[in-house]
Amino acid sequence: MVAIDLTDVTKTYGDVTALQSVDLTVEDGEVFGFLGPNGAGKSTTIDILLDHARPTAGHAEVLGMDAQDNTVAVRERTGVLPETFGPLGEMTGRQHVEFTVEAKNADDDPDAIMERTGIDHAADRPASGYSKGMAQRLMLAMALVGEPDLLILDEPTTGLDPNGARRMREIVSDEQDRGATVFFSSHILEQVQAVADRVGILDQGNLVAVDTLDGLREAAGSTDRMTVDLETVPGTLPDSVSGIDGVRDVTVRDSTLDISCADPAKGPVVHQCVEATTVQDVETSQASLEDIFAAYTEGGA
Amino acid sequence: MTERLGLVARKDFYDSIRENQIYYIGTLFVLIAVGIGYLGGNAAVEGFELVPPLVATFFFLVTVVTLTISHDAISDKWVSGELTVLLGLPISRFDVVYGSVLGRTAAVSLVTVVSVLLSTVVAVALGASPDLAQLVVGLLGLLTAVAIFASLAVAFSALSDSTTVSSTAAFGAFALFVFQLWSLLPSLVNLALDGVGAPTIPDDTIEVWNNLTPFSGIRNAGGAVLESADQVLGVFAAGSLPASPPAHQHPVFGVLVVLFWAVVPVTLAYLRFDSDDI
Repeated sequence: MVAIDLTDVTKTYGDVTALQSVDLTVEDGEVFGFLGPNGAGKSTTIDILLDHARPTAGHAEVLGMDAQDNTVAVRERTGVLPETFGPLGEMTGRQHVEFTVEAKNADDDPDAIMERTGIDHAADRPASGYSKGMAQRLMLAMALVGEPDLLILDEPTTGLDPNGARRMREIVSDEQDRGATVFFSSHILEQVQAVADRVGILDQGNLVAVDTLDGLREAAGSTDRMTVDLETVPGTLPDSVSGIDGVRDVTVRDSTLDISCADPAKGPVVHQCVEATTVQDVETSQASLEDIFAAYTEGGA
Repeated sequence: MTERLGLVARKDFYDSIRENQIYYIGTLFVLIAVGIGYLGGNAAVEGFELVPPLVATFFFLVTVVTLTISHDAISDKWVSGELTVLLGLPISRFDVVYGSVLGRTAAVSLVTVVSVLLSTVVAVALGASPDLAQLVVGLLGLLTAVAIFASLAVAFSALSDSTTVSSTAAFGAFALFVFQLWSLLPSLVNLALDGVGAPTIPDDTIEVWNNLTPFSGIRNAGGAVLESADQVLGVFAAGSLPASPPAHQHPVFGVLVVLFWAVVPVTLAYLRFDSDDI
């Protein structure tokens, strides 16, 4: 089953195109990381999924239902943590969760759910006095009410301290284990890298990539890094390493070779070095999501 | 849908308690009501009737207060981000708009009923004998005005995310119906079109126009059940209500006018709000 299905969705605000012919499918049960620079159209996409905004063209389905025609039914089965939000009047934290439980016809224990997101200590205080991080925890608690089939989290770690961010990741993981689909928008790449099965990258309203991290690395041509410490660097070795398929760049630094290459080239590189001299140490690192993100959004792909 | 409409209405009602609005309004209303009850009670021996001045004063008060506490019912939530939270839950825009109308109406109605009853108790304790029919019809007229102006103000608040727009519109409604600028509009049109020549809009049309305001509608509808409707409900209504009213002052026409103001503007605003991006 498909949790989210966007077909040729375009959204314009006057002369500004926020989304341009976006096609996106998020499968049931996956954690999908949605990336993009500020103003790329991530929140607009989420607004369309929740019917806070209507697409100028195209069609959006959530949990098999039309996102614009069945908006209440969609939100009955969806938990939402919006990027920008305000408290419900002068309600306390607990009253926020109780209100959500009632709105969703759920039977959750507000105290238990607030304890899960770490906001139970402030349950009886008006949420209007919460810090940004506390408000994020409260909104997450509200999103979890009723064991939703889909969680839409828009920049969920904004304002959270490291413990809060870790708890957020754990909850995302637990929710996936329960069977929920998680649509996770963020510009904090490590958070997405830590939890996402697949990643979509949006740039200036265009969905420029959707794949697993490994798939994106390969498609973007992002290279891994290798550092090979040698006893000496024979004069012909840099050229012979450069000639190996998949090697993009070789730099000599004293008795060290810094190599950028595709993952499959690493073995042949080490073999070539061992043939030529004594290898003292080898370090390798994969291209980070940040490298991939930069490759797609700064014209490097 | 009904459950969540009630949920939003209850939230809105309790918001007025949590934000202490109801206490401020209640204190103001009760002080004025008890004052009128005291004066009415003391003057009862001279034939002073309690209900007409009490209802007239409260028509002014409930209009001001209802417009004031309702004009930002939705626009303020829009600006603060509360609307994003509500519409992230399985709550429809219909629930938000009409729930706000019900919640605000309930809050002002509660303090109005308590105040009018307290005023009556004070007057009776001092020896007055208020006309019960006048009291009941007057109170119903006040509650109708609360519903109409809550509906109008929420309509204004749903038109945009600007509280400036909604507060300006609310003041405009107050000026139109309480200061009765409404009745000047045909004259202004005539002046603009004809100068000092023969008017384009004839007097009988102006007479109908003047009976289209919420207060005229309430007064004319009240004529069906109260002979002294003009005296009790007519403070901001146009002209006077004759014993045999013409068609445009007939109670049925009055009810239609009341229903129009209570339902049509807020429904048009809801339809606009429902098609807006938030």
